Amino acid sequence: MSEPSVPPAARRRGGVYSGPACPRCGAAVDLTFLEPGEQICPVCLDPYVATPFHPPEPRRPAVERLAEAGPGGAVPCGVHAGNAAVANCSRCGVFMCSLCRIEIDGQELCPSCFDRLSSEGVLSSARNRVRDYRGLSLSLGLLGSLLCLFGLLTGPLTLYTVFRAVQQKREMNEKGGTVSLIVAALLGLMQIGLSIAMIVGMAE
Amino acid sequence: MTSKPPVRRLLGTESSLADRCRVYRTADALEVDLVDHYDIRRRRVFFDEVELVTLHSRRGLRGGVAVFGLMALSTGVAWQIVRSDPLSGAILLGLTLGLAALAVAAAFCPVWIVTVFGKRTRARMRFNLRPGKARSVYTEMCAAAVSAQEALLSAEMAPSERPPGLPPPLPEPDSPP
Repeated sequence: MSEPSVPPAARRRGGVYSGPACPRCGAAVDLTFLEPGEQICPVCLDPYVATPFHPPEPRRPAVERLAEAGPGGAVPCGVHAGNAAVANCSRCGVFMCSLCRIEIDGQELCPSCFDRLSSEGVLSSARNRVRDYRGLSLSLGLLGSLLCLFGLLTGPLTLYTVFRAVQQKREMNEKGGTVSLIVAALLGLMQIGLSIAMIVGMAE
Repeated sequence: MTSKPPVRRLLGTESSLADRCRVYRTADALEVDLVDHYDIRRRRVFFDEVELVTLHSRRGLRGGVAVFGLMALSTGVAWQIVRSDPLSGAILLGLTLGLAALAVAAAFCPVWIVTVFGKRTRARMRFNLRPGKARSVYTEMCAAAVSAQEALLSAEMAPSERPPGLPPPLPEPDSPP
């Protein structure tokens, strides 16, 4: 049974990923005989520089059977009664065999604690969807500057999103991107200042 | 119960009319942040799963065409305004000429693109007018993939199955591929 062919345009859009391809036209590349250095795509005939790699398959963890561990030599896993435990869960303390052990963010977790923590968004390495507070603060800053009349509403909102963006930056341990946050904060302050000046001007 | 994640460093971006992507480097992977309105969807290309790293350049014709379209529209508006208000029309015409210069520059300036193909997804970074930066990112990605895969191999496999070493030296900057 042959694999369904993926049109190059779909590959380029990133909708479908089916392995290494020519970076120009998206035609599939066979890595078996690819040498590092300059390449010419046989489909589009355009040149590019490439370095192929042959990543090893990660080996499955060796599971020690309880019967092989000897008398009194091991504790059974909390889920797989026949397997010897190799660690405790960092959160709930349950005994885990090497099949159950999940190492993430410097912790060793059992599958149920991992599910729970990742669904709560506590594990930063397992988080795949976050709010873009930086983009939001910049948009609010620019939009609010255009609508100065509502500056007392949009200004504090901009400052709040800047605060959340700074928090997020710290949580993600991200370097750089400070300039855009400073710009957004200045725009927020400017909106508040302009609104107050307008109100004072109208009152006088 | 939280722990500090690894340091993220912005390596590059890939933006189009529809999508915006930011690519960050962490200790063991590239994180591709796809900005979808005000949400970020994150994918990861792990260095020990990298299969191919490429570098190529091309002209930014698409951006040039987009700006040229704006310029044509602006010229039409400026032409109508010149008839009634010469000063405003002249200012708008000046802006139009500025856009035209931008369109020409965008169409002829090379864009350098580094693509990292993993087993499950890929990361792409564009560098406008910065071939040196693109080359250094390309070399950095190759070195990171080599060290991650060597570490995995030395931990798990026999030394005979090692991946290739560092990539060969890149061609001179004056001869883009």
